[in-house]
Amino acid sequence: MKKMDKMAGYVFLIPWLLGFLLLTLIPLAYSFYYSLTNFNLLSDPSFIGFSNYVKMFTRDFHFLNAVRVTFVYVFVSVPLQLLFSLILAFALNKGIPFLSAFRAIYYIPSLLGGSVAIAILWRQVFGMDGILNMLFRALGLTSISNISWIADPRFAVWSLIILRVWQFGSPMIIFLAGIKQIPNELLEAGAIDGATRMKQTTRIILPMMTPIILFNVIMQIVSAFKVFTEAYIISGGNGGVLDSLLFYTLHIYNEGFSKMRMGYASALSWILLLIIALITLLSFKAFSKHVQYH
Amino acid sequence: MKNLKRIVSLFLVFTVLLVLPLSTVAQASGKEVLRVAWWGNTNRDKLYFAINDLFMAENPNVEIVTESPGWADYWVSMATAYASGSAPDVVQFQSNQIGEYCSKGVLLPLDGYVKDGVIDLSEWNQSYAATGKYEDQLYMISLGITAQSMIINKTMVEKYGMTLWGEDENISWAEFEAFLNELQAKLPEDTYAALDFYNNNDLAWVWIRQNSPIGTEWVDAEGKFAPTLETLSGWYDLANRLRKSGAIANAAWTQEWAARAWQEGALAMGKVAFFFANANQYKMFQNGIEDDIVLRRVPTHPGGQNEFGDLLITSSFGISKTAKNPDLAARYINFFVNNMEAQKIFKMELGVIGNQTIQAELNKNADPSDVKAAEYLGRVGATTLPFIPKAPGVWAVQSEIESASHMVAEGVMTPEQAAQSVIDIANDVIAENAQ
Repeated sequence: MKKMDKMAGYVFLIPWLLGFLLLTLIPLAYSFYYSLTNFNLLSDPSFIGFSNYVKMFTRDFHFLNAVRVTFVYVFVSVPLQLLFSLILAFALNKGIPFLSAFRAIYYIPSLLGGSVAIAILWRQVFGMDGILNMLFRALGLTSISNISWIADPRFAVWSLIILRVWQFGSPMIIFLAGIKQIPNELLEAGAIDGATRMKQTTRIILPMMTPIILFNVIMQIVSAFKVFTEAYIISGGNGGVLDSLLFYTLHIYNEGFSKMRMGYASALSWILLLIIALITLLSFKAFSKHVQYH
Repeated sequence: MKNLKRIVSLFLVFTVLLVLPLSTVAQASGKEVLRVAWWGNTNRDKLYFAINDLFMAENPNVEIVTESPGWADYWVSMATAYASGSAPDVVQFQSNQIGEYCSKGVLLPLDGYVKDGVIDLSEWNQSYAATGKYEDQLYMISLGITAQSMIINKTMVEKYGMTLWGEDENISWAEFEAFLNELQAKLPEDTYAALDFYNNNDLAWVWIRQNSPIGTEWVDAEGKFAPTLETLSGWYDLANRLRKSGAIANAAWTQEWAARAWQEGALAMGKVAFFFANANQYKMFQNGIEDDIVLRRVPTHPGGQNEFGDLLITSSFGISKTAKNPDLAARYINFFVNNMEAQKIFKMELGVIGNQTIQAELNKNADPSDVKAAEYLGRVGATTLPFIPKAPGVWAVQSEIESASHMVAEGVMTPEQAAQSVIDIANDVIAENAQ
């Protein structure tokens, strides 16, 4: 490559590098520094060492509640969402008419899922006078038709899990693309050897899909850990009764902005980063024996 | 080489285009710019805009630039603006934030402007003016004063054969509890005498003030959280008794209804008869609901530390220390609160105003509900304890008071355990803010 072309490449990289430096790397470094301070946004931060981290595990019961709620949400919603999207991807691969239209329609919830409007709609569906309770009343199930599925601490997180599963479009499109990439010759060879449809799916398609499944698992876990808008809108920002909707990101937001403890919120953010990194690493380890890249 | 020059030139032009809008400033018009912020909504914004237009008409060399996010976003926006040194010149605050912001030295003391007559408080109710003080210095000028009240559907109460006490009479907490229980016994299913008040911090402070020595409702002489275990557990116990008797709705029911807009809320929909809210909201309910809606004082505590504990709640303007032209900001505030035309536009939007001459004039043509609210504030102001700004860290503590209420409501903690939990956390918060 000519020297001039290299220079041009670097010049065009500068905007991204500047953005990365100013909007990611430097804030990240500041965030770590703030996590070691008592910082209320209005005064200068004062260094307190690892006190924020100690406090998190010893004196903040909301932290444990937030971890519990978020883990339930992530580890229930992500497998359900991926299973649902994989099944639909298989269904849409059957060469049905209007395939493109179905793909677009199924993708819409993924576009809208995290929006304020959908969170409000969810209130209308799962609220005390919502569509679900109207249905229960119509079916004569009056004993459960007065429950607020979004406010009752026993059920609140489940309504958000359903919302997450409903946003199956994005992983479904990726699964569908993966299925379509599997060479027909492999399936034909399997059929000639007497493999049934089920055998073809479990012995050829799914093994070939493992890199894509791993990709979707990682992406959806990371995305589920970061969920905020739905919990903020549906709980009114306070995390709901008994912290039942106190997702980890909402806890960070409340500590940082409502309670003006930015130092503590920064420490919480770093722990979230570590949790996500650890779970990603564990996912790679757990899948490494099963993922087939060739 | 020629190509490289072209590429670099293109990049520079691109960068300049990116940066240019950021450096565009309103001063380009040659006018003095005043940045003003308040928490708003579409209707409220119109009032501020109209007043700003009046001010700009009288001061043609001034351009007012405004920021008016909704309540929740507003505080995030202001906190980050102060953190980054880019706060608006004039910022609206509420009682809870007075200690938080004044203690951090980000606001300008206004005593000098009052002394010089730039901000004229000579015709003000001095107890209302004092709501802007923190540690004997004046930092804020009130735009309106209100207080917690009971907004009651009188038609609904009478429909079930109950008679409400008179508006000049007070009832104790014990009488209130008995009244709610009696009413609840007559109400149909899925209708309650009142909502749970687990999330009502203003009401919790009324209780705390009624049960604390005067002047020490927040911190005691040793700098520790002042409310005692007995006071806080008494508060949780009262709510628990009402929950158990069924006179107030459970926490989940309340959470569901409290999240709705007032037009679809529990009082408007006839789901509850009693509703705790600030008195300046009375007009909204009275004019928006067909039933007869009345205003009553929150329960009192005869025989307690203090019979009355009502907390005056103020919304006020302060001037940021970073304000480019604080003199202009002070003139703007004075215009806003002391100009008759401006206040005729504002129509007691945030409660009763401090300027008594203007208030008397406004009363002549005011909405009858506003007059009732003003009379209510007059009664409350005349008898309650002096205003004391809450100390820094108040939001964190109030959040714990509410959170502990959930625990009691759901049977996870006893009232005593909840009270101890709040005291422990509040002392941590006070210590953090003292660092």
